[in-house]
Amino acid sequence: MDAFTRLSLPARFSLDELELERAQAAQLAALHPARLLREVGINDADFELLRQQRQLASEAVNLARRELACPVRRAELLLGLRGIACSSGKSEPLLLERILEQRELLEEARGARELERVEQVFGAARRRRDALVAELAAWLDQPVAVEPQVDPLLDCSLEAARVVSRLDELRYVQRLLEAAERALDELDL
Amino acid sequence: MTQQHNRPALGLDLGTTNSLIATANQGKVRLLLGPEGQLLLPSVVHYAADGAVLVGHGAAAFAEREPARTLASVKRWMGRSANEPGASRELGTRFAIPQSEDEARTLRFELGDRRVTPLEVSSELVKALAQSAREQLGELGTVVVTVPAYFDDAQRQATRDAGRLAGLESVRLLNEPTAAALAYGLAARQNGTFLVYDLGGGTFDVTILRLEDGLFQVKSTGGDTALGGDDVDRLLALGWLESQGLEPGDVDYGELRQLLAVARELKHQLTLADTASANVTLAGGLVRPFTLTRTELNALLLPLLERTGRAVRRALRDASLSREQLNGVVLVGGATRMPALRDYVTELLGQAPLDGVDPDTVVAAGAALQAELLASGSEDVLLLDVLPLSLGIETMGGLVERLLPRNCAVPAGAMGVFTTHVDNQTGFSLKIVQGERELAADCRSLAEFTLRGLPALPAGRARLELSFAVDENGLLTVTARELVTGLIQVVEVRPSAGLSSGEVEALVAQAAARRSADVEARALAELRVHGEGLVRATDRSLSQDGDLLGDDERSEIDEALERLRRGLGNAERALLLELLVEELHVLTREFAERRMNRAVVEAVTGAGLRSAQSGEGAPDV
Repeated sequence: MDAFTRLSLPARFSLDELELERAQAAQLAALHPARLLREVGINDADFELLRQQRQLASEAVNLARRELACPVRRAELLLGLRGIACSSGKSEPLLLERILEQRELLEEARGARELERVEQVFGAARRRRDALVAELAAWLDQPVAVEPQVDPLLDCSLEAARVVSRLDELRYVQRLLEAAERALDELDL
Repeated sequence: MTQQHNRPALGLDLGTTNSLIATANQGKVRLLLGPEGQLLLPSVVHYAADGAVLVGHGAAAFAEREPARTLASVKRWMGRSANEPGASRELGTRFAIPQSEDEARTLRFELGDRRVTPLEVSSELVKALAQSAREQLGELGTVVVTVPAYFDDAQRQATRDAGRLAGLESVRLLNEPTAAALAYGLAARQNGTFLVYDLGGGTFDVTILRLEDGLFQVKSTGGDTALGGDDVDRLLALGWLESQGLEPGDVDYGELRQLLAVARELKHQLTLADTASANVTLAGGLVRPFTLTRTELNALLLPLLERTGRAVRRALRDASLSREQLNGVVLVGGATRMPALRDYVTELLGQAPLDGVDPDTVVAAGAALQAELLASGSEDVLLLDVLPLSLGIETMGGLVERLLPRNCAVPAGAMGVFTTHVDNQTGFSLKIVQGERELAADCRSLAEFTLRGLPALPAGRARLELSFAVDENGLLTVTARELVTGLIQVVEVRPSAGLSSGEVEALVAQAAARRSADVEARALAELRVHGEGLVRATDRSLSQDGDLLGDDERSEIDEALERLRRGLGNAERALLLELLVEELHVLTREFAERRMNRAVVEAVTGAGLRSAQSGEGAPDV
């Protein structure tokens, strides 16, 4: 069962935090182990079994929420549902160069313990992530159209191939953001 | 119809400085009196040389006389190993030197002839509070014990085991800030995003929650399990020693405990006053003043507050929120009464904390509400908590492979597949760690185990599947399976710090066997404290106002006093001592009334100057 189905949500890219939260809560309202009451007459082993079943079901709901909260994972799931490979398997030199540059800036700022510069890298990465997410949403939330041009490598339309390359970039940017967050934690003494 | 619903629900706030209990019925919270007839029970335990165990104020009374046998703030050491950083240099606490590597897994306190773990000490507090609750409510139903949100797995396990050792069969754990938010949210019936800033005696927690129509969803949590009001006391005490040209090693253990108590008292006074002063009595009766201004206290507090500020900023980042998006700030814990702290939080978050929340009782109230919700199966409220620290395993090169990230919702599960790196390897040694650092050595080691009996395969061929499951209490279970051969082994996850399940079972059995003896010993010890006080007070009253008694009356009281003295020296049964105490009470009742009358007359006529000038107080009997 995919994460969208698990949370009874439509398979679309644009999902806000509140929508996800409510979908998760609706599922857990019935499944959460805290809601399990011990009926009179039930033995310890049966009760433990019921508790474990609920725990597993709740874990699955929480995992689905975690997956859908991540834009990379959401895009991968939607591309998978359309039968499109979710990674191009190639790296664009210009993109790599830009990301490496940002990482070096981050490392320099972290090494020099300059909080403001780390925040600048963090802010720039967040803005780029938001732009990429918006671009992915614009394509992934459109109905599937007939697109004759085919990318020879990915065996999909050229437009889909462009989306996959944006997803590749989003992965790099996410990792950069995580590194910047770690640096912020480290410097915020 | 359920079994749980029939019995009263209990919430227990097991605090570093004070503990308290509460119950809830149909959403209405009632705070319960503790075993000493007061709401707050000081989290202090005294182990008398004769084996008796006292808790609360009764125990705290021994802090100066027998400091080595009187333990306070043990929550700071729950689930810790003897090798824990800071365990050897904690001011005012005496730790046992481990005799073996195995013993070093668990930190122990040295009591002369006996060693006890923090878990055992905490269980004495839980036992006393639970017994007090039973006396007021009858047989208990669901019991919820609160823990700091930032407690790791070992600390949670130790808290749950303390409940078991105290005779509570099923203890549910709840994070303290979540409990506070529950109590506040249900009372205020307000939706929004709230930050709970919880600075207790020994721990600091920050939690951001969204409250929406009965759903309490934790967005992020963070903190420091070794930062609290006790640290302020220690800094004050160290500062005073330095000002006197002394080192901590220059004063004895009892003096240190006294100094810490004075520091705490001055800190409390500075909540309302600008200056506070008290005397410290050193060896040889040397009395030196300890004076502190609010400005000095604030300067000393700042570095500690900045540590909390760092955790707050991180929690906001983790929740992807700015401070402007917060609808309110709730302060929890006695330490949050300090004016400088309130000012700091106001500046940090751009808004004043919410009023109308009692920082001392809000956690117990929330625990009681959750206990009732669990027992009744109410569908109006649901608490969704998160894992405070990432969980993972140590891989080659001492690195950490994270399987569950911090702040993921619990219950949470994750699976990872690992392989061998040496040909014909027939065992996997696994180390489970918790924390955010990249190297396993910098994280907290939770457990180590070995999966044995694997078939000899070339390196990289074996496939070990590891499953982590964190339940709704935040407790971890790990299972391991070899996929190529399908070999499944039941492995015991042995806590790296804390007691193994076998050791806890042994303690539970021992406690059950000793329960009636413990009750007798506790009663005897409490009566001794009471009886000694009564003897002292009667002696003083007789010397001051003995002329108010006739000869027969005097001789009856003298005889009863002598019998009680002898009883205090040799009584082995609480009942006997109780009778002797009661006898003296009855015989001195009339005397006390006469003394009271004399005091009133003296006050009215001005003759009371006599006792005021001599520095003596009001009648004691």
